[in-house]
Amino acid sequence: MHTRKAAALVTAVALVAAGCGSKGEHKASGGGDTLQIGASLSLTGSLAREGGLTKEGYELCRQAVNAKGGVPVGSKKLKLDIKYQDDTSKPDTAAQLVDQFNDKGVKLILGPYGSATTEAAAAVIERNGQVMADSSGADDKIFQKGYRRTFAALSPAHSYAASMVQAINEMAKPKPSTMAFLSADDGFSKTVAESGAEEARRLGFKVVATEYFPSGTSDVSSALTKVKPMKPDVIIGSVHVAEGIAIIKQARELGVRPAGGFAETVAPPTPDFAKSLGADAEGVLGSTQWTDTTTGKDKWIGSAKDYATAFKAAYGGRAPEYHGAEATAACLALVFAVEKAGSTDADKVRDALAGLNEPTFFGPLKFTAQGQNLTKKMQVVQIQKGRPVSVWPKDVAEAPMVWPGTGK
Amino acid sequence: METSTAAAGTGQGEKAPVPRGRRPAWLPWAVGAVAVLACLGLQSQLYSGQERTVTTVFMFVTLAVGWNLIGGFTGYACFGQVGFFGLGAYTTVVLMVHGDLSFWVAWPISAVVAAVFAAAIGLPLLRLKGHYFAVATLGVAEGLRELVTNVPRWTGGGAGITIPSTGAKAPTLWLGNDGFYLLFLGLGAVSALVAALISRGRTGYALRAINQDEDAAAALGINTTWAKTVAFGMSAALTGAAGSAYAFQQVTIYPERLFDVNITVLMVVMVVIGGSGTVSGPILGALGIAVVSEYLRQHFAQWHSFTLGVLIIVAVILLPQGLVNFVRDAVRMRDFSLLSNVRRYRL
Repeated sequence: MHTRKAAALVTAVALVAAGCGSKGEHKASGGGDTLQIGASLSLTGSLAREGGLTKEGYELCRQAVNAKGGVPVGSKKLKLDIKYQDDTSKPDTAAQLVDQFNDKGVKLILGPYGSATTEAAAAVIERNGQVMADSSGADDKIFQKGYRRTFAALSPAHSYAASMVQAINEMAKPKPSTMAFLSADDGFSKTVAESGAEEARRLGFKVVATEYFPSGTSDVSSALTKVKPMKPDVIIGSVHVAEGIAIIKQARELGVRPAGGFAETVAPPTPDFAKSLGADAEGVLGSTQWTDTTTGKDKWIGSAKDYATAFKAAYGGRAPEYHGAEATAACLALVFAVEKAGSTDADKVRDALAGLNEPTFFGPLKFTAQGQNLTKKMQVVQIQKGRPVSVWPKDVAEAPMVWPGTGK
Repeated sequence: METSTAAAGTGQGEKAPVPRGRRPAWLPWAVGAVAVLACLGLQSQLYSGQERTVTTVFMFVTLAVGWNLIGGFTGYACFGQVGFFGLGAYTTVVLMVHGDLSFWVAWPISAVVAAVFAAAIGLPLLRLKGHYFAVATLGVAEGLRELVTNVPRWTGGGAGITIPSTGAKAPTLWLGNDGFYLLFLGLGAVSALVAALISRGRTGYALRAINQDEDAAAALGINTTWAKTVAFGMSAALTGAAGSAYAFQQVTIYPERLFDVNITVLMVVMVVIGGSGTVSGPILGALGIAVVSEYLRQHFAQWHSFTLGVLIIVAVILLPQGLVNFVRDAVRMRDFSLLSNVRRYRL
């Protein structure tokens, strides 16, 4: 009889569970004097390093805002409180976490690290009526889906390689005539390479090849071998750090020596690049979202130099990279929007973000109808004497571009 | 009342007594039905985001039950199971994006494609045993990933591909968190049903015989090639169906995640912890691991993977035969001590 009784009990529980309760979401979050923001970040997994750098940027924003009393909303000042969850570098988990924040009534979200996770999160943000300030999802694809609730503080993917092409066009003497593009095959890198090649053609350069290799590979020799006989004047890599280092090393081994030199998007601004390659890194161009020469000032952080000082003080003397700066800028975008809206209501904050036009330490924060920041310019850096030096645009350049950038 | 419906099968009109301590035949079916009913009830209690989390648990139930057919019952540890997951997902994406087919048509086709592919590679691969089979299947999954990455015209390659799921161009509109909850619950329930039917049928006995001694099974007249291929095909069909539904749920998919070896590892761990070669073990293993993993991730942002790893190691040391087999042994021998269990199964 025991089994029958047990079965009857479980059935009863199931039926009761089926019959009652209601769905929805929590009405509010945080206390009355707190502005609650959710952040799904890659704290573990393949993007843990970049996720950690992004978290540092968010934390610096929180500390700066709270040190000045908090975000003014109407007559109150709200302290910033950021809840972090680990998306383990997986897009599906990032989407799940944004849904979970929504359950808890957290409507204002700071973006995860990387384009794939941001794309997954943006779809959920739109469905739930949340708002996301995107700090690192640069792929243009995210903003071509008609979403109205995701706003990227950073410059879009299509300007990463295009900015280097423009810099070469303006400053390289003798001016090269041919370019080859090597790119990782992930969505972000492909967008970078395709738009870079388009810009090169527009400016009158001949694009002799666009070759792809698997994202994350340490062997780019087959792409280099294909490009070698075409003798391009410049090789432009749309790469992550490890792939960027591999291109320079393996090009040397294979005797691929472009007359003008190499340019490699985000790899050269990273300290690891010059450290790993030594003299071989000399003269390589790169593009970056931010350096401490960026012009602009805001009331929370101050100037780019002030940001660098605050960052060093907070993180043991370490100089800031663009990852941290773009994260702080995304957080500031939300802070400015809440202040401007005079409310934490997601719809009002969204409208305030859409109309935002604020100068900051990161450059201007102003968004297109699609949510991209096209007002801010990318900067081009060049490794000179072992460190990345800003060379373009001219108004923020620390030094002139050395050309040809073939190093020793 | 403790009699079995098996009595009807005697044709004598008499009720055959059930030995004391043996459960009635209808009980597992009743428990299964009540569990599905309870999950339907649970849905009304969950917030939308929680629904999505539970949906992932149902998906892993399907994956673990699927892996158990080949890895548990048959004893062929397939380390490339995620290949069928990705194959199912990409078949659905290609059919929906390029063929403009409805998800409801693409879904069963994806399961069949995964099954046929498994049967085709199974014929040569299932002749390998032990770690040779494991490594070969691992290679198949990696090969599939490379294939998907290198035909970007069809699959979007490394840049990923998006299924149109809103607006007039969508072959099927996105189902919402409510819809996917029911879809994955249904899939999990069907998987458990398939495992139960196989376990109790001729094929189940054949697979267990193969697991214990394949040569002896063949000598007894079991067509081992056929039985293994059926198990492999069914296992791939369930995994492919889960991959297909997952692709539609995610909308944008990337080969890196769809062929992530971690997914296979999770399936294996869930089956081993729950009880390999049983029907309920993989279900309980999937539930247990998913719930513990989610709890740890929410409460220990940096340390959750490490903590989960430690817990899995402890669980495997204490319960090497899995939870369900441990409980069965413990009830039979009236010995619930974990220490004596460790002694009994020590290497």
